[in-house]
Amino acid sequence: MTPAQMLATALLLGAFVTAAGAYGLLYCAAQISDHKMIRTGGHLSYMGLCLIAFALVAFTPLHLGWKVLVAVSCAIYLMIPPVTWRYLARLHREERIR
Amino acid sequence: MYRSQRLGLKYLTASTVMFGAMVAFGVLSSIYYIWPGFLLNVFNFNSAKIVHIDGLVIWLLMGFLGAIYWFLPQELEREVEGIALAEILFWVFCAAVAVVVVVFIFVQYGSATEASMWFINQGRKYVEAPRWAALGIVAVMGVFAYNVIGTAVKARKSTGILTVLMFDLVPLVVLYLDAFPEMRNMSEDLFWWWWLVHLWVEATWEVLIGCIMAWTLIHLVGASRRVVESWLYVEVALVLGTGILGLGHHYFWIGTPRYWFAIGGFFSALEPLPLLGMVVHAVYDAGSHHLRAANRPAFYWTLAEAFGNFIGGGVWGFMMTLPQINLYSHGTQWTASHGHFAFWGAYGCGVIAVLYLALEKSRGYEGLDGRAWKWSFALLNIGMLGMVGALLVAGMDQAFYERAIGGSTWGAFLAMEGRPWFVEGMWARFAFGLVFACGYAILVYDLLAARPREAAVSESMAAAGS
Repeated sequence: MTPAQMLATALLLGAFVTAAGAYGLLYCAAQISDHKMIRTGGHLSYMGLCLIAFALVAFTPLHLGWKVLVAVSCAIYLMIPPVTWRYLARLHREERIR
Repeated sequence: MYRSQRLGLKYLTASTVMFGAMVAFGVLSSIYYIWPGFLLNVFNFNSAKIVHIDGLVIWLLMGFLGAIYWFLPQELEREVEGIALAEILFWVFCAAVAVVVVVFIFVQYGSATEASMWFINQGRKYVEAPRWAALGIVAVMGVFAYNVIGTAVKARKSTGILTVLMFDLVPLVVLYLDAFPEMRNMSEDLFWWWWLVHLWVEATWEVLIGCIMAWTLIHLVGASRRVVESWLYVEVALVLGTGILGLGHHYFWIGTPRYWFAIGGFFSALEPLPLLGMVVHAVYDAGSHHLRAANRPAFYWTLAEAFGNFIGGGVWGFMMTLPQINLYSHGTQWTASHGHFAFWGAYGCGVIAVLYLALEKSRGYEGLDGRAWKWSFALLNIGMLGMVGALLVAGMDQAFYERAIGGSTWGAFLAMEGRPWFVEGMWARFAFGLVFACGYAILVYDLLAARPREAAVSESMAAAGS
């Protein structure tokens, strides 16, 4: 790994989690407001996350194990907001019924 | 109000004072990076840094104790067991902290003898407090554990949050004992020292703040206990599952076996996952309350805690946690950037939220609002963002030139000190440190002068009308 590759990889890793956060935030905002722009923003953030994951896998000198971790994380990040949201909504619904 | 809650208020007040000391010594420490000869041989950088980072630990610890003494009697609807002892130990704790700070400022260090370790400085980062004071901290934490567990036993009652807290108290106290062993082998010493620092910060403190934020949500927005507790169990499982073995991400350059790099990298790479879950939870709660709560400062600081934890711990941490990056970034200003942001997001914002909640209830107000809290919220967060941004740029420059190109030699270190991005980064950190200090001053003013929401709203309307 060259010094330049080290910095580029670190920035991509930071961007990877930032995109995941943006996707999670916009997904939740879209659930609340049901605004088309916000929903599209959520989709675009996840697309950005996939592109960054692709760049990390294809162009950085990370070892294979870390590339697999990034690819699997990318898939898990897709699921976290809807699964968490549904879980929270179910908890609140059950609470109201009680 | 219960006696325990009055004690909680005292701890929160002491915590705010220590927050100020930490900020003051932080700003002072940042000056040495600009003028390396500043106060040379009078009050050197290492002494200023000790007060800054130990102040960080103490202000947060006092904040946690204050929060728990505040919430505990409400939770169990009775006075806390052994409260008289806890009240005495509060004053002992404050006196000990004051003596230790005076020793750190005026004595600073001693010769390499047992006496120095007992009365001046133990010499281990974050737990420099001399041995007598460290024993005092053990006593305070022991009594605190007795207060919590004894009260639950006496009340013959526990709740989900309290049960999690009681389990957490065991490692919280036991891990601190790791501050005592004297090891001659540096690698061995650092190996175990990280158990204390990492497992306090990324395991037991995470659980502690999880319990405190759970109570905060119940009292702040009337969140359902069942919902909050269910979520707390999931969060605690995920945070501990990823955080404990994330320990390995500290094991660089200290002679630990190589396999720790992979273990640490793997588990700490998973740490952002539960943090994203927390963000979703925060947005869910904020959305269901339409971003409105009677106590607005507490509500916004609670939101800041969720986002700050994700960005400071998750984004900043993931950027540098994989071994191929960590090898170079370790111990640079890049790490300092992550440390500042993560501590602020995960813990600092949470303690301030509790401060406002306790303030409202203790003064009998129905909600809090006004202008000052908004200024302090903005200045503290802008100051912190500016500092971590400046440290990030300086740290990346350092990892690139001093570590990766220069090979971490003494010459590379000295050359680094003069590089424009590093120098400008240090100036920017100092400037934003001053912004942060202004935010702190306004926070203190607001805590002293805060008024109930109705009064603040009508005053604002009158001002707008005139």
